[in-house]
Amino acid sequence: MDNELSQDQVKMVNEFLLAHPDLKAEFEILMSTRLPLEEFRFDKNDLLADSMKQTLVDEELLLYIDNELPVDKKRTVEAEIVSDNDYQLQHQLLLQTKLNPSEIISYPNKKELYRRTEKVASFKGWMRVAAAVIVIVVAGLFYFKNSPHPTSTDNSQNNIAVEKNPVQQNEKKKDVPSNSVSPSSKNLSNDQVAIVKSFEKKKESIQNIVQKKVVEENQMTQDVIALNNGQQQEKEIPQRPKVTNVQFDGTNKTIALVEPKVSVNNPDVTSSSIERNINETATVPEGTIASNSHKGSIKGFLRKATRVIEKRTGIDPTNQNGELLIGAVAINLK
Amino acid sequence: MTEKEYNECVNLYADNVYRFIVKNLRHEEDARDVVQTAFEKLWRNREEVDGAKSKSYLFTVAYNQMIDHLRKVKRVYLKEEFKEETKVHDKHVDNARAVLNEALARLSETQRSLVMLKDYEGYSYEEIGKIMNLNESQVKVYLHRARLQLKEYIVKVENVI
Repeated sequence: MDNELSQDQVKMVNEFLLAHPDLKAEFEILMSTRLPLEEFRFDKNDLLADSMKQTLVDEELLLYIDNELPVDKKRTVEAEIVSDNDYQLQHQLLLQTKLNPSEIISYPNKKELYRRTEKVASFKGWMRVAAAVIVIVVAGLFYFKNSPHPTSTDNSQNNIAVEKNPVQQNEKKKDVPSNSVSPSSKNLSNDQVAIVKSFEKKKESIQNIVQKKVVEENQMTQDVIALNNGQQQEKEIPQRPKVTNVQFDGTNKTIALVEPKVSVNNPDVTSSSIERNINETATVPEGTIASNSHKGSIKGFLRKATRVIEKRTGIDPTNQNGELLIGAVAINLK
Repeated sequence: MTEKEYNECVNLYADNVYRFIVKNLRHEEDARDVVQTAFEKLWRNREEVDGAKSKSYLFTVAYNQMIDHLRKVKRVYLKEEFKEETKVHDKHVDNARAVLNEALARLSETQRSLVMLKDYEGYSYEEIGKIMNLNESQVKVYLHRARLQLKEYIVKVENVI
């Protein structure tokens, strides 16, 4: 099949195939695997001298247009363009394939490409410690400035003690001359004594007004009861006597209930003074109120300080849990 | 490269890069994305990029980005070959620039990029090779073929008109 046998050998193979016809089919299959002969023709025109010359001209002109020719070659081409019309025509045609660099297509939104780096203030270790110290000092000053003086708390306690037994106090007042306002007044200055006196006068006037009001209300209720004589109305009206029962004898409840009316009728009496009385006579333990208010004020201050730091520096001094970080200490602001 | 130099690059080259990409992709939004990505990359690598080479860096990144984009999107282009039976006589072409743009649109991405980098940006064969990851001979051969195709198209159109 590959034509590698001698004539004798070929003859022997043929005889063998004739002697064994069953192998002839297999031999034909093997023979069919040979590729058929095909004819190919290469176009030689591209290799002819004229075509080669044309290609060279194009290449020279293209290199000239692309400005990739050396200076001496460039001059030669320029001279050729001037002298040869065909050369010039070809040059003109190739020049038309050149894009115009003056064509401008603007990017729609250049602003989105500009960048600005934000400078991040780096705090060194000592700066952090200093900041923590300053915050603690300021917070401490604020705390001590706003916290009530120890002596004043004593006085308030004394006042509460006095208020708890107003009847006894009234009795004592009758006995004791006006100069001797309280046992502690001996240690007070004249101004303080005057303030205490005026406060007591106001207190007496409030008591009188309250008594009058209570009496008036009692009369009014009695009148209403008399007019209606109805059991149902009697049931409704007795809600008032809660006030009437609590006649002014210096007890805390009376002041608390009648307080708004007093402030309306008597311009001398300010709400703050009443509030103070209420606070003084409140049954809630004093220590708890004071401590809560202090905590709130400190936290409020720290929150304000946090906001100021955040505004000024742009750095959030709190962690993810909303706790203020001072050095290694985290304070919960909520 | 400093921040100021980067912003100057935006001023100087954003339009050029955009023109290069939009003419290749023929899709404004995609071109915008590619340009944005190129500048984003320049900004991220500004420490390593020399200010003098920022333009070619931008074109290189934009070109690679564009090729990636084309591979990803796999848009179906009705690509017409420059054959004898190409029907160009049906179109009324107003001027030479329009004809040229028409011819340019018929080139392959590589050929179009070569022509634009040469004509618009004035890069040398060597620089174009660096941008497009080709050697100088390839640039020369591909570019010359592209020009001859353009010339052939222009001549045909002019003959018809």
